[in-house]
Amino acid sequence: MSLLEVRNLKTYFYTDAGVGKAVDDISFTLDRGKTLGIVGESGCGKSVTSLSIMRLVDTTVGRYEGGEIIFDGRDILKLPEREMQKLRGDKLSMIFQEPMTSLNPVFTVGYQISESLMLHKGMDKKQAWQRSIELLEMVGIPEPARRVDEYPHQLSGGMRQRVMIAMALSGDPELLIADEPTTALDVTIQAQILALLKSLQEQLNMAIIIITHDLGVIAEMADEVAVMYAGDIVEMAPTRELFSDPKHPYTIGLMNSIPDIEENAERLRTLEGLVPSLYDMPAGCRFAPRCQFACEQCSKSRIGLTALGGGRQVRCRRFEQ
Amino acid sequence: MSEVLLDVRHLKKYFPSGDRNRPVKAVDDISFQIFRGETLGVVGESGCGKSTTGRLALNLMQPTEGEIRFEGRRLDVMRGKTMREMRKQMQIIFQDPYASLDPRKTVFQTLAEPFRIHNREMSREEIHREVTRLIGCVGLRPEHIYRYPHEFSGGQRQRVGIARAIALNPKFVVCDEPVSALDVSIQAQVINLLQDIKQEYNLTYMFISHDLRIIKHLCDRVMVMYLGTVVEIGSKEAIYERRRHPYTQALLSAIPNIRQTDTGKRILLTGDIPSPINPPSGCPFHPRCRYCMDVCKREKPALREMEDGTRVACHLELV
Repeated sequence: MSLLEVRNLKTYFYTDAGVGKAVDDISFTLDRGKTLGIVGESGCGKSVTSLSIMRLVDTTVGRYEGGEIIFDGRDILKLPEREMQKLRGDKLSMIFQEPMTSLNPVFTVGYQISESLMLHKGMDKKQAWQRSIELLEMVGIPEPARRVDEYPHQLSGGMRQRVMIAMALSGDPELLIADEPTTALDVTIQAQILALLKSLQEQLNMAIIIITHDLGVIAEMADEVAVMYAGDIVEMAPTRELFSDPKHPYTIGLMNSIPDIEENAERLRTLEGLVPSLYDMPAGCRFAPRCQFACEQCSKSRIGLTALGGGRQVRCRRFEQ
Repeated sequence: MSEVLLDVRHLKKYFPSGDRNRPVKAVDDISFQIFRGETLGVVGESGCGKSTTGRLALNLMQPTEGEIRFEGRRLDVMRGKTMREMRKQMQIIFQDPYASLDPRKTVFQTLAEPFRIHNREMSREEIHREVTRLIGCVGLRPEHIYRYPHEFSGGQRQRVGIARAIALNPKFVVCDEPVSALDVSIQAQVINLLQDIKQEYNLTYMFISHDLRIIKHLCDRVMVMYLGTVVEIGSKEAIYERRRHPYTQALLSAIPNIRQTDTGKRILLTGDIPSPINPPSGCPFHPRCRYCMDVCKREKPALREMEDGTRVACHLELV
């Protein structure tokens, strides 16, 4: 059985501007020890997907309009909040893009890691402090016994992200969601953090969902990739196949938009136009207005995912039988 | 070799840090030239001084020491009216198109401002014609000129920023991370636009970015900075293919590889970028360098010229 199974998840936002279908009927599964990459541009729904799995969507404006999120055999969307709290930060962990805003500036690093250990593992203060030092060491922070007493502002961006990872690991998570974990970091530090996540995954056999706009990060990390556009998964494939043979016109456009480090092209082939507004989605295929292959049919009715075999799926009329 | 447009010699910029004896050495003795018609890429990580260098190059801040010449004339000592005249010839495009446009001004007001300041004799009709032409140049539509910045997407806002920069027909434009805040597909659109505009207006670019893929795509020559100093400067081919400096090697190998071919060759740097308040002795890169020798800890290496014209600051035996 898969560790995580998301079935027909819909997360909508109700605002004055209308109904924003941030995540509109997406499904995927993830096995233990594997990495799923979710890639897409601003507003594609990748972060709302991760917040939905953590059940952290702001329910004053957002609602789960349907679907199931089966984690370890239980539907997360049906759990009472108290059960959910036990799961969050324990078997189900998350790290965010900006480590400075996710850490509390007025508490020491050790205090913040211990908090979760005492809560979830029932440790006393002393045990938790000791374990915090071990966790800091595990994520490669030099002199952990000294660093444990420091405040977030005393650490560099890379070190802060390591602290976030240490905190996320405190509950021995089975699933770690990393939402743009390296976007705020420099490229040499990004390389360090990605290498760290990979080695931790091997040691601990965790599943990882990595959410990013950077196809390079996806290529390095993911076993399988979901490409999202305007609330839809438009393509799903094993990483190697996705990069060697992208099928969806959006995936192809996205790849062409990045200058190739090994080639000298004079011009980039671009996707024209803009991502549609959440509140004003095209009726048919949401990518149709920007798609070079779009025909009349495309803008009329929604298109489902077509399975292509080999674990590949694509949402495009050109592949429908 | 074509003509030198911008000549920078022994440029230093120190900022006060609270501790009087330990200023932040944002830029610490760098020299380089930019030739007419080329694009010089400036690449490096946070705190390497690339943005400070860009601002100094336009005399938007006073250097602590050093000389900057634009077409042979000393910029750093220019003031008042003469400097204002010079400003027409040099412009900047900023990273954040949200912060660099006045939210209370329409696109027309923003784009008319350069003409109102520098070409006072222009009539409203003439200005209107120019603004409409400009907006067309950057791929926006005439009806866009009466809109406010919040009505635009990030990419469109950056187009307005580009239109503003080219309004007065400058010779030199500093692009300071112009696409970093944009989505990948929009990045590509803006990069193509910057290339078209350069052709059309015969511009010279100083292109500052942390993105090595974009630098490679756009630039003729590349300057790699680390902690306020230049570690390597040379033609794009020399930088990307020869990779002489150990930092250049590490930086280039850290780019996530979409082709999934040679990830095994990655050079993982240990440790963080040191603070420019308290830079390491000798070579600023030595604490993270895998080839570090004794001399590296004592002496700061000077830039040495290689046989292909690349200059590298490293104590290693390089050819």
